[in-house]
Parts: sequence; C-alpha cells; structure tokens
Amino acid sequence: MNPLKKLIKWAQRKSPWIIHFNAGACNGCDIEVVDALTPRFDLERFGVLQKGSPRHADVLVCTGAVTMQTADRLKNIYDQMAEPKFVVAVGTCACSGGVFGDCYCVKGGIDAVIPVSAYIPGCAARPEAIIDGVVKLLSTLEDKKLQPKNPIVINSEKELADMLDEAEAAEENTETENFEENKAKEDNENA
Amino acid sequence: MLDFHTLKNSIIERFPNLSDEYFREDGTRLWVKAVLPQEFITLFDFVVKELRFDNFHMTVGLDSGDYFEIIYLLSNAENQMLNLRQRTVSRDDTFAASVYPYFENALFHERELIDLFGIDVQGLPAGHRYPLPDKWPDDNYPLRKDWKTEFFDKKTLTYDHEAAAEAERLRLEEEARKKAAREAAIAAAKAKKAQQEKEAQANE
Amino acid sequence: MEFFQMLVFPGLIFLSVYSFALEYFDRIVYARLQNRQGPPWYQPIADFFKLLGKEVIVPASVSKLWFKLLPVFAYAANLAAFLYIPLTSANSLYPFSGDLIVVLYLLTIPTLCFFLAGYISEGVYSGLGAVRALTQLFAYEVPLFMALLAPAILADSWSFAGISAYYSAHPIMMLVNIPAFIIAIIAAQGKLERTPFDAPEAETEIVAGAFTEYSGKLLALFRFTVDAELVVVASLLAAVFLPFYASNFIISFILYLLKTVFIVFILAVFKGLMARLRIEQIVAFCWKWLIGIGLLQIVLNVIIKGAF
Repeated sequence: MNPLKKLIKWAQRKSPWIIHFNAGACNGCDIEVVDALTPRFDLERFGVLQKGSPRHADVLVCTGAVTMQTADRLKNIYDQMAEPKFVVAVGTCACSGGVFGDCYCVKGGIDAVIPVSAYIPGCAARPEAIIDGVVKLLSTLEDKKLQPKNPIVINSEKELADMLDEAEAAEENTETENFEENKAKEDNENA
Repeated sequence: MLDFHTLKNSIIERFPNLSDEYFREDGTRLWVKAVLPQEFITLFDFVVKELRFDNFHMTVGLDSGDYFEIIYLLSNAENQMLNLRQRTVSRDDTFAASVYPYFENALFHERELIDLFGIDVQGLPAGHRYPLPDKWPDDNYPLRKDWKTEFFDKKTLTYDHEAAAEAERLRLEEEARKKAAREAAIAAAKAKKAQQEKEAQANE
Repeated sequence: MEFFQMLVFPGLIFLSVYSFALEYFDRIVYARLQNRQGPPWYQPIADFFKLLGKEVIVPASVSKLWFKLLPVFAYAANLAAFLYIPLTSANSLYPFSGDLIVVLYLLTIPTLCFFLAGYISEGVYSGLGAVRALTQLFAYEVPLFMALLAPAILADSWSFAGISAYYSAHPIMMLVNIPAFIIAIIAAQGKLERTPFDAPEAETEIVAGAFTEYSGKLLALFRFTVDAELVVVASLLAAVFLPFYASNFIISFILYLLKTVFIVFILAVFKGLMARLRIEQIVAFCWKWLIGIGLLQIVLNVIIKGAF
C-alpha cells in the first residue's frame, strides 16, 4: 500500500464521526448513546465527533426496532452517507427486534433494512458497552487485529457435527463436581 | 378511603335508568358499566360540567366479544377517579361519539381507537391516521381479539384469513375435545366411587 | 526566495501546520474546561486525511463546477490574506500602504463563499445556514472594521508597518486600544462562526448549516479553511493590537506564537463557557453595543491624536 493510502487508513481508524439515529426505539438506548458523548465517558478522546449531517459521518449509530414507518427513513439516511460507512446497532431491539420483534408493525432489527457492521446488545446498552463496541469496530478496520492466531478451519457440516459429538462425549466423561455427594461423603468420614 | 356513595347517588339521581348494578367501586375509583353513545354523551356532559370531573386522563379501547367498549378515565379536584364506558351497538355497527368537544387532548387517543380497533369515532377534526404506518392496509385492526400477528405477512402486508379461520377451528375442536375428556373422567370417577360404596355396603 | 516564503514560511505549509496545531489547542482547552480528556495531538490531521478518503457526493441539481470551486476560493482568500499580515517583523511578505484594508476585505471572501455554498446546495438546512451566515456578516462586519481601524487612526497609517512603527515609538498608546481589542475579540468570534456566534452552523438546529451537503475532500477543504481562518484572524489581531517585535528572528517567532496562542485561548474559553445566541440577538447585540463602544473608541482615538 502506498504511503498516502496507509495514512488515510490510519486516519479512518482514528477519526470516526458518528451520526445517531433513532429508528423506533423507546429512547432508553438513545439516552445511553448521548451519555457516552458526555464528558464523563468522553468519546472525543477516540476522535469520535457527533455530526448532524449524514454526509459528514462515517458510522451510523442506530437504536431501536425498525418499524414500517421508519424503515424508509432509515434507508434514506443510510444512502446519504458517503463511503466508506459502517453501521452500529445499539441495544437488543436494534440487533434483533428485541421484545418488540413480533409486534404487528415492527420489521425486526436494523439488519432487516441495512447491513450492520457491529452489534451491541443490552437493554439499555451501557455507555461502557457502546464505547467497547465502537473501539472493537475501529480495530477491525486494521486488517490484522481481530484474526485469531490459530484459527480452527471447518471444511464441511459433517466435520462440524463430528466435532460437536466429540465435545459432548468428552463432557460426559469428566467428573463433574457433585457438591451434595461430596458433602455427604465428608460428613460420613467425619462422623 | 374515598367516599363514592354520594357520587353514585348523584349520578343515579339524574339518570334513573342506571340501576345499582351498573356501578362498582374498588376503593380507588368508581367504575360505571358501558352505555350506548346517545346516553353516554349526556352522562359525560353531566359528569364533566356539573359534577366537575374535568380532569381527563386518557381513554382506552376494549374488545368485549360482541361489541367494543371505550373506557374513559376522569378525576376531579379532590382526586376522586371515575371510569366511564361507552359501548358500540355491536361488532359490525361501530359508531361511537367523540369527547373531543369537551377535551381536545382526546384527539390522539381517539385516533388510536379508530386505527387499532376500527371503532368509528365521529366528531374528530380531519387529520392523518395515527399511530399505524402510512402503508398499513385497510380493514386490519391489530388490537381486535380475532386479529393475530402470526397470520399477518409483513412483507406483502396481507392477512391470511383462511389460515386464521383454520387455526380458530382447530382451537375450538381441541377445546371441545378436552372438555369432553374432562367430563368423561369426572363421570368415570363418579361411577367408580358409586361402585366402591356399593361394594362397601354389600360387605357390611 | 519569495517562492520559498510563499510556499513554506510564512505561506502554505506553515499556515497548514499551524492551523492544525491551533485547532488541537482549541479543542484541548475546550475539553479541559469541560473536565474531560480531549483528543490526541494528531486529531486534526486524522480528521483531514480521513475526509480526503471519503466519497464526494454532489447533489443532482447543483452546478458541479461551483460546488467544487467554492472551497478552493475560500481557502485561497485566507492564504492570500495571511501573506499580507506581518508575523515576526514589522514587514510582511508584500508590505504596502493600505494592506490592512486589503486584508480586511480579503477576509470577507470566505464568508461569502460559505453563503454561496449553502445557497447553491438547494437544501433546506443549507439555505438556512447560508442566510444566517450572511446576516451575521452584516452584524459583525462593522464593529470588526471599527475595532481594527481605531488603532490605525491613532497611528495615522493604514499599513501594518506604519502601525508597528508608531506603537514601537509610543508603547503606552497600546493601552488606549484595549476597548477596541475587546470588541475585536468578540466580533472575531462572529467572523469565525464560533460559540456564542455559531448560529450559522448550529448543529442542533440546522443539521450542519451551509456545509450540510458537502462530503469528502470538499468538506475537508472547507474545514481546513475554517481552521486557517482561525490562524489568520488571530495573527491579524496580534499584528494590530500587539505590534511589538524583537530583532532576533527566533525570539520574534516565539513571541508571535505566544500572541496567537493567547488570543486563541481567550476564544476557546469563550466557546467553552457560553451558550449560543439567536441570530436576531446577535444582530441586536452587535449593532447596539459593539458599534456603540467602537464609535466611542474611534472618537477617543481622534481626540488623543489631536491632543498629542
């Protein structure tokens, strides 16, 4: 990679600008997102700035289960953002629809409408969790960070099934701690 | 304990056809059973203007099987709470009178009734639907007891009436079967008990 | 030699580096006033290069040429103004009689470019931001000019060199201009669109003001212009109100850095402590109070000039 590209890649990691959008949430997660931007948790030390216009932002921080009414608006905002862009779904309702997932006018989580890069569960997700999620998302931008050192490669479903059977068998064979049995044994010995 | 006796009497005094069984109190509020729209409006007017129950909290809808009800929560300056109910004639004839002329904040509550129950509330000013989405198909009222989300296809926005009817039929059959099984078990237990008594008598 | 001066010092490269440094300083002071950490030192550089790597989206119904040219004009005007301001000695790169006036007029071009950028963007929020920027121009322009011309009246010269010569000869006269200094600092916040005068870019009200539809390298250049404006205005205030220089270049340069950092520190403290004024409050305040005190200052200076 030539130096300018490297510089730009470094800059993308160090300066993620967010835009916050509520796609049908109860506002609990919104309060936590706003809380993460206050001086107590201080997201600006990661370079995170909250921008109003979607054209200026890199990361769309989205809360709430997507209702039929907000689905079009959410898509509109996502389309207005400039590449490269990422989406972070904050809260259980944004990840999967949460408790409102089967409601009559709820489409589901955010990924029913737009592609999501990071999921932060919680109800409401704590500011520490939000910060952790954003930092993890940033570290994936550098290509090497989140790859495990010795990845387990599974080539087929049969192999996966075999591995799971082995793990189950291994678990049955180990001696599990049976607290009551052991206690009874001890009492008998002491008596 | 708030005293609802005088309140009940003053209502019965003006509306003698509301007998005692129309009222129920549970210590915190007085419940009045449902009345049809024409009578309801005069009752509401009386309660708000003369009994001074002019603090309007909210209104909710209720699907009571044969007809729909609308429950109104009111309170007065001494914090006595009163629940009035208005009912429609039947499930098909869903006319109801609006309380918008008395309380303008009933607007959103009654729009919600129109959208989610299908109750035809008359007397509201023109405006957008609320709270269902703009693309919601007509004749689908989510809060009715016979409308279930699992038969509503969110992608094509259609309600599968056949599947719903089928499921309802199956459910009724299942219930009838269970009832029959229960009655058979009770009859069998009774017969066994009678037989045991007979044996005991025979042994004596 | 002149080429070197135009491009490196005190030209393009020095302006760029120093604008990043002053933006960092401004954000750190703002952060520390809010009892938090603040960004690391490379943050403005990271912001700039990240924006360079983003896609440029031009709205469909907008004239592409002007959409892309306006940021360039704004930055060029700032750079041109910077070349006429003396930094380390009484003489700037191209001193001539009247260069103070030229600098003041060059500094109105970025504001006009912001207005045009918001106007041609054809969006609700951009239009509102553009109109507010222009309204604010009518508000702070007159007090700013008055405040900057009052020392010039006293010094009987319209050039930086003449001002510097006069105040080096009579240093006590710098104290006479303190009201003008205060007015200039307040009006400078209007020019720089900073709190409490940041109605044109009110994030909570009009999304992003005139820059709403800009993205990518055009936005990078606009933000760069805003940073450079900070340096230029701070240098201008230092050159007019604190016109003392040393004979040694290094000491003079350090003096220049201290002067500009002091002015930016005052601006950052204002930003951290104050809330936003509404646009009609800005206009009322500037026309009632700032122009009032400005007029008094000019009258005072004329009297003193006549007396001595």
